[in-house]
Amino acid sequence: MREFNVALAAPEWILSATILVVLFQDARTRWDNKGGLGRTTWLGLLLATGCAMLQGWFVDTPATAFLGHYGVDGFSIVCKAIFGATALFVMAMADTWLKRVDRGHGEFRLLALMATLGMFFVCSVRDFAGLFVSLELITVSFYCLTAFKRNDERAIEAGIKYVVLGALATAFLLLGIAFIYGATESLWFHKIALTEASDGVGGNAALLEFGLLLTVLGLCFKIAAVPFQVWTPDVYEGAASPVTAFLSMGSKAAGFVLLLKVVRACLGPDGDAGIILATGAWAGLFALIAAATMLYGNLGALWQGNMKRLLGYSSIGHAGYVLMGVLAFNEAGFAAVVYYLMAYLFTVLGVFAVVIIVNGALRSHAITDYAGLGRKSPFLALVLTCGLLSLAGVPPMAGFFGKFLVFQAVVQLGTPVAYTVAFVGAAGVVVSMYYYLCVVKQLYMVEAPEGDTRLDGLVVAKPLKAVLWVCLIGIFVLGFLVQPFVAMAQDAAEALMAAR
Amino acid sequence: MLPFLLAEANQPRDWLPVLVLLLLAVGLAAVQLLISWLLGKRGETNEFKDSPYECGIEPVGDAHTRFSVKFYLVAVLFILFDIEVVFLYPWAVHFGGGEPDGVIFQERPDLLGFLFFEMLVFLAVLFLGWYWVVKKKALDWERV
Repeated sequence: MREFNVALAAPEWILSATILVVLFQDARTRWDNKGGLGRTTWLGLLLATGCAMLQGWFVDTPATAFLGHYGVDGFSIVCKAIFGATALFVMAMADTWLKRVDRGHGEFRLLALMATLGMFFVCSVRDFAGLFVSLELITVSFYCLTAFKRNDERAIEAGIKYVVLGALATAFLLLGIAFIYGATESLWFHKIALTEASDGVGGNAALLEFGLLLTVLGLCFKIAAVPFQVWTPDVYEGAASPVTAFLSMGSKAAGFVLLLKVVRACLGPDGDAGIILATGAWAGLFALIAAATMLYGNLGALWQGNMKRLLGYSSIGHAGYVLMGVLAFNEAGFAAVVYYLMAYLFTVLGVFAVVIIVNGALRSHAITDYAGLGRKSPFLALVLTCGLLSLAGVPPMAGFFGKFLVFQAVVQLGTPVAYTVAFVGAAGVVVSMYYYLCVVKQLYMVEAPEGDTRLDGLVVAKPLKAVLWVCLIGIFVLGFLVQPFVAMAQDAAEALMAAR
Repeated sequence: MLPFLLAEANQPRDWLPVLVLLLLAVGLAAVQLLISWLLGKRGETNEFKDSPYECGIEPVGDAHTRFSVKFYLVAVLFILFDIEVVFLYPWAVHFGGGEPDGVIFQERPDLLGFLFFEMLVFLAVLFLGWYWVVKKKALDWERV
C-alpha cells in the first residue's frame, strides 16, 4: 500500500500527455491549420483505451498505485473500455461537426479529452477525495462544452442551467462527504464497511447515514435521476449534438460507476448486505428514486416534439432502469448495471449519430421533419429504428438484455418493494414503446412534404459512417451473442464485490 | 485543537461548542438589529430621503452597469495562476521535512526525489498553460 507504482496509471498518463500536446499544438498553429489537433487526439484516445484494455491481460489485478489511492481491477478495466469507446465515438461525431462549425477546434478537443481523463480516473478512485476531484473534472469540462455554441441563446441558457444546478448538486455531494468523514474519520471507501462492521459507529450511525444520503443525492445529478433531473431536457436540447451524445453516455455512466463504488463500500466485507443498506429504509429510498425517475422520464417524453428533448426524457427514464440494478445491492444487480451500460453505449450513440447527420441537413430537431427519411436514406432510418427499438427494449436488440438482467436482479429479491418497483418499470417500458414507435412511424409511414428536398442525397462523412456501422453491429451482437458479454459484466461485478 | 475535531469526539456533548458558536453568531446579529431598531430615531420618510445619495448630485442612470467581459477573463486567469502559490507554499515548507513528513522521508529517502520531480511536473504544466494563454492573446487588453 505504501508504493507509488506510477506505471500502473499508464492510460491516464497517456491521456494527460495528449492533453498537453494538444494544448501546445493549439498554441503553435494558426486558426486555419488545426488538422494536427484531431490526429493527436485520435492517437491519444486510441493508445489510452488500448492500454487500459491491455491491462486486463498484463496486470496482476487487483493492483493499486499512489499509496493505494488508485486501483486497477476487473471492474475498472471494463468501465475504462466503455468510456474509451464513448470518447472515440464522440470524437468521430465531433470531427464532422467541428468542420461545419469551424471554430474552437482546440478548445473542444481539450475539454472532451479532459472529461475523458476524469472518466478514466472515476473508474480507479478508491477514496472520496479522488471521487470528488475526478467527478468535478468531468462536470466542469461539460459546463464549458454545453455552452460551446456561445452565440446561440439556447446553448447559453443550457450552460447556465447546468452550472447552477450542478453547483447545487456538488454542494450536496461535498456536504455528504464531509459527514461521512466525520463518521468514519477517513476518506477511504472501504472504511465505511469497516466502521459498520466494527460497530464503532455508535453515536455516529446517523451521521454516516445522513452523509450517504447527501452523497447519493449529489450523484443523482450526474445520472439525471429524480430529484436532480430537471436540467436534462433543456441541456440536451441546448448543447451541440456531439456534446449531448457525450453527456448522455459518458457523464451518466461515470455517475453510475461512482454510485456502484459507494454502494459497494456500504456492503459488508464479504459482499453481504451491510448494516446500513440492510435496513429497509435504504432499499425503499433507492426504489422511490428509481420509480420516480422512470415515471418522470417516460411520461415526460410522451409530449415531446423535439428529438433531442425526447432523448433527454428517455435518458432520465433509462437512469431509472439502471438504478433498479443498483438497488438490488448484490452481484447480479451490479453485473446487470455494467451490461446495461455496454448496451446503452452502442444504442444511444448510434441514435445520436443519426440525429447529428439529419440535423446537419435539416438544421432542426423537430420530429415531424424526420418524415420520409425511410425512403430517402434507408440506412440512416434503419440505424435510427434499431437504436430506438433497442432503447425501448425489443427482444433481439442489445437494450432488451440490459432490461432483462436488471428486472431479473430486482425480481429475484422477492420483497414487496422490489415487486413494486419492477411493476413501475414494466409500466414505464410499455409507455416508452409508444413514443419511440411514434418516431419510427414518422420515418416510414409519413411522406415528406412536397418540395422539401432537405433530406435528399444526404452525404455521410467517413468517421460518422464508421460509427453508424459499429453501433448497428454492436446493437445486434449484444442482442444475439449475449453470453460472452454477460460473462464480462459478471467478472466486472465480481471484481467490484472483491474490492477492498 | 477544538474537542469536536478529535478522534474520540462521538458523544453529543462534544458538539456543544458548535451549538454555542451557532447561538452566539445568530444571537449577536439579532441583538444588533434589535438595538438599532429600539434605540434608533426614525424620522419621516419621503421620496428624497429614500433616494440613493450620490455626492449630493441627482443620481443618473442605473447603478447595475455591465462590465466588459475582459475584466472577468483577467480575474479568472489571475485565480488560476494564484492557485500555484497555494500548492507551492506548503510544498516549500514541507520539502525540508517537517515533523509528520520527516518520519516518512527518514524511512524512504527516495520519496524526496519524487516530491521534487512532482513539483517540476506541476510547474511545467502550469507554464504550458501560461504559454497557451499568451498565444491565444487572452492577456492582450486591446484585442480582447
